[in-house]
Amino acid sequence: MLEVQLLTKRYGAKTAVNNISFTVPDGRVTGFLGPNGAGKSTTMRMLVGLEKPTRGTALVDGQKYTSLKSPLSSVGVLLDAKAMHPGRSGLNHLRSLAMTHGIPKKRVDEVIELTGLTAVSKKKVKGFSLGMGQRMGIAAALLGDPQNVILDEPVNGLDPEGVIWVRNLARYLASEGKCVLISSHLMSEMSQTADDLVVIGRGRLLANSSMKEFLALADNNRVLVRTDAREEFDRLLANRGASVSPLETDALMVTGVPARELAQLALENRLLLHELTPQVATLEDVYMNMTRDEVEYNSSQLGNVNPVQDDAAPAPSAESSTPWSNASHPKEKN
Amino acid sequence: MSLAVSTPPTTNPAHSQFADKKLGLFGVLRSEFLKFRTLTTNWVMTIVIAVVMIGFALIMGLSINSFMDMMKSSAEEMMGPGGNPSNAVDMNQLVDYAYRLGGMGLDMGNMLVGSVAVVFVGSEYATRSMQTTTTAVPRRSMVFFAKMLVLTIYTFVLGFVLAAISYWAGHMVLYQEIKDAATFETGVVWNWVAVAIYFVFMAWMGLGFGFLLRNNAGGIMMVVAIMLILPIIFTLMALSDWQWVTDLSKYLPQNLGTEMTAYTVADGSMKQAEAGGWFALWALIPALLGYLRFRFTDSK
Repeated sequence: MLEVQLLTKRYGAKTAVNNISFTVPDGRVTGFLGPNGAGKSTTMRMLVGLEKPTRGTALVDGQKYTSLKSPLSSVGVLLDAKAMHPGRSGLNHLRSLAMTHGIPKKRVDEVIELTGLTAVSKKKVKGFSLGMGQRMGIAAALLGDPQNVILDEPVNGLDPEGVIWVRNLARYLASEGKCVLISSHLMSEMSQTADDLVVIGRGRLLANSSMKEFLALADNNRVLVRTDAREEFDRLLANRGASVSPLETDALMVTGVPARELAQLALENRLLLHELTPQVATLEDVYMNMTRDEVEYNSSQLGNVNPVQDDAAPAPSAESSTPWSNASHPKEKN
Repeated sequence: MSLAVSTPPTTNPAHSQFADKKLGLFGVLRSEFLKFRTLTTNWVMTIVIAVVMIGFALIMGLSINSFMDMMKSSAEEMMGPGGNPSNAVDMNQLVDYAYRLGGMGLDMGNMLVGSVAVVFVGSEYATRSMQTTTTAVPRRSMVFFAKMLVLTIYTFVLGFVLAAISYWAGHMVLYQEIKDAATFETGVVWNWVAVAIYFVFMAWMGLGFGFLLRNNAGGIMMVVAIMLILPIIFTLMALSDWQWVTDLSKYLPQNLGTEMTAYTVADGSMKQAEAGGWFALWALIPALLGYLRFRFTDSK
């Protein structure tokens, strides 16, 4: 179990992590989310003693990482895939880590095989791709069969098979009763992997809940309606006091009226609806909405081709459902 | 990649199968040895140091012969025909040089040894692998002393072996007359030990600057500044007739190293042990500062 209590880290005038507290329980995968510069990596580095907190504590199974008798079997950590000497082979890199704890060479071979690096393990690390580096980093993290696993952006540079493998690995470790803290910017991936979420922005804790509770934060009361009689349906809705915004040539985005009531209204007035889609927010929508004001580095808009609207979250507008949009909304067609 | 096959489930799911494997200094030492010997750079540098040490000994051996020739020709000119120029040769001085053949390459080799130590640490920072090291071994003192011990053993053995090889290589090219006069004595072995200790001090200095500056170029520059540039500055300043410059220059590490590896102590010079003591300070102060930065500040 990982525990962060009132943790603060300052670099001069800048506060990287500001008084955050959360617990990562055993047997669950906890996603750690936040924009670039939010303080995720700093928090992870404090958990494994690479940086000293300005205030507060970061504990592993109730102890400071630096006081653990067997750090590698307590925490397996991947913080930087390229944190290896390029002039040394992957095998020797892992052996050097294993030797510190007297972990047998057999285990080194085991994690190399597990991560699919057997063919390249004797090659120098400088020839590794980012994906191979990630696999080597994960191999190092698993070396001590640790009770707690911390993975910072583990799927960066991995091919689709590797991404699925990391997902399965995280799920498998949690099923073994291990504590898994994993950060990623791939929301779709995180939504499939994590049981719980910790979200931070500008060093502050924004959310700490289960995935279900987190998604429930979204405003899921919008329905996309398509009809040949848009103006007439719009008038009917206006008479009922519903909030409606027209979209494209034949669609309306209706807020605050359930899909069933809309269907009923159309039936009573003998209007044909050819789409009725409740807008279900994704993890990305909720996350984007939550962290909109917490981003340290803002990208510039790309004019008309930018698929993400400022007000897209929590529920995406129809414009965000363009072919290049990342948002995926389950549709209920009536 | 199959999780089910590769990672057997443990009987106690909340317990690592390696929980009984504790972090220990011996393990860290083995790890650091492995890291040192698996880098090609260290082997290349070892060969370069060997070439420098042995090469300088050979050149010095030939120079001793030339020196003897010069003494003889000067004596011939002074004595004229009928005199025995061999009587005019200061054989003691030549023998002293011959006994010191093992350490003749030190003025160049010292910086190379220091650089190996700087790079051993600095390259871990440059490649960010120091982060991996300090995550596996969160007790920083353990990492520091393991690295120090690895470098101490490596440099002591290398210094002693190279001093011995250099001595015999240089000895081979000496005139028979000098060889006969410079018969092997126990003191020569002690001279090799002094060379080995000189190497160790350079390694500590390099290690210290590596940890202090966390940068290969900066660390090597500091070693070069202390061992090469500082003596040049003092030599230039000595021209200005400032006595304090002359007094202080005795305590420069390069001069202390020369005194430490002297075979016979000249009048007014420091004894080898005293010079070694002062030289140790030049090595230990950067090492201490490096330790303090490594131990008490955040890892990069």
